[in-house]
Amino acid sequence: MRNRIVVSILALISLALSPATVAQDRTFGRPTTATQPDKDVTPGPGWKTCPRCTNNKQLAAANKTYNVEGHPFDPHDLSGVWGNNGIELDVKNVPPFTPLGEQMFEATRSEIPTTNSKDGMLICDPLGYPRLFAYNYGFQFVMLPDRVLQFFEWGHTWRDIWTDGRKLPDDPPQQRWLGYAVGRWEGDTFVVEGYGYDDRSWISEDRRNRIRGFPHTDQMRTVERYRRTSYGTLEAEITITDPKIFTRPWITKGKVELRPNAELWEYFCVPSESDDYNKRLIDAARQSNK
Amino acid sequence: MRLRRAFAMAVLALVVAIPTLRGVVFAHHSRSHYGTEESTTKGVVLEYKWRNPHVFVVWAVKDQNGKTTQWVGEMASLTSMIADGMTKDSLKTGDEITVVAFPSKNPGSTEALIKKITKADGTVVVDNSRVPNLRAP
Repeated sequence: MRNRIVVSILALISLALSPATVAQDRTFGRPTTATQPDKDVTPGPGWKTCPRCTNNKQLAAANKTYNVEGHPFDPHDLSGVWGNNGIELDVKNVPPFTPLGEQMFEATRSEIPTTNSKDGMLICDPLGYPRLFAYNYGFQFVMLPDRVLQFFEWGHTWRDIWTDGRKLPDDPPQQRWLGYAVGRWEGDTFVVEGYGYDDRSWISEDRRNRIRGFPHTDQMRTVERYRRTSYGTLEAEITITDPKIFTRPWITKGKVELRPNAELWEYFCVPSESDDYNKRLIDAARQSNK
Repeated sequence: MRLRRAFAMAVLALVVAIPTLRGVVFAHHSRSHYGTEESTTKGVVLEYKWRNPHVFVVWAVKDQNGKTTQWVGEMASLTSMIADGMTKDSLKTGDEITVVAFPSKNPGSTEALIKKITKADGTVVVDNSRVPNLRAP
């Protein structure tokens, strides 16, 4: 009996702490509140709502309307609008830094304790990749014969994942915020390799305390693995390696849920809007926390 | 004895886990500078910004001596607020509102994180009662 209680307690703890649990929770709906509408908010007949506009009630209704449960699917067709947030990187398993990594990580430290004053997002720098893996307001895969397009609502941007057999460039002429990406199928898993990233972006903000960001160099490589395990579920995994920053690869696993009732809307980071917000809400904190 | 040890381990694990998990729910713009004490004010809408990165409202509150204080309160991104039932027409300049919010921890500051807005006719404009997830994006 005692053994059973001990095992149950330990199982509950491991479930609460498992990265998959956290990642999954982030991509699913928002807690229900009294003012949330029951029906989708759309621009009009024939138009759809957006991933992030959808609350739990609407998502549950949409899953019934579109017969998501048990719906037939082709595991090699990843088409659809997925998630409303991105899959947070597993900050409980950040690899140990190299001395240079430690130095670069410290250099991202905010000047104020309340938000990261050095985060390029505040001035609408592109998020870059893999930050868009971790934070995107929903994304859409479009399958083409020679590539897979991945559109992101955040930044209203896309990346080309080439599937025509080309190799990643060894020494690209331009480092890109979203890098260079090539994809291939290993069984039912779509494997995406990325390289050639612009080192001005962060891998992600450090969500443990939001006073630093995870830096990378131009040596960073990413490998993503996507597997559609049902019509409505996409398993996703990313492995980030940067031997100049980390002493071992950084792996994050998660799940993303289909948004059958949604299409991507527009989220541009607009400098004039951000400037207004920063002055009226961020700068106030900046002034009073010096 | 083993049970006691397991219980102690569970408590220890939760002590470690809770702050970690709490950190996970924060938005890209941190809200850690807002306190956890609720404040209720009545006032008049001066501005309603249906914009990203976060929707915000500015309202004027008059005290007993006739002195007016201008508050600015933020919510979440525009599409997140659509999910919670707000629209571009939810508020207009001159509306009388009652606001339940979490003011900044800084003494004398007039910035706040909004929990609930009710109009004078009793209409609840938004009820972000998703505490403790209130600080999610």
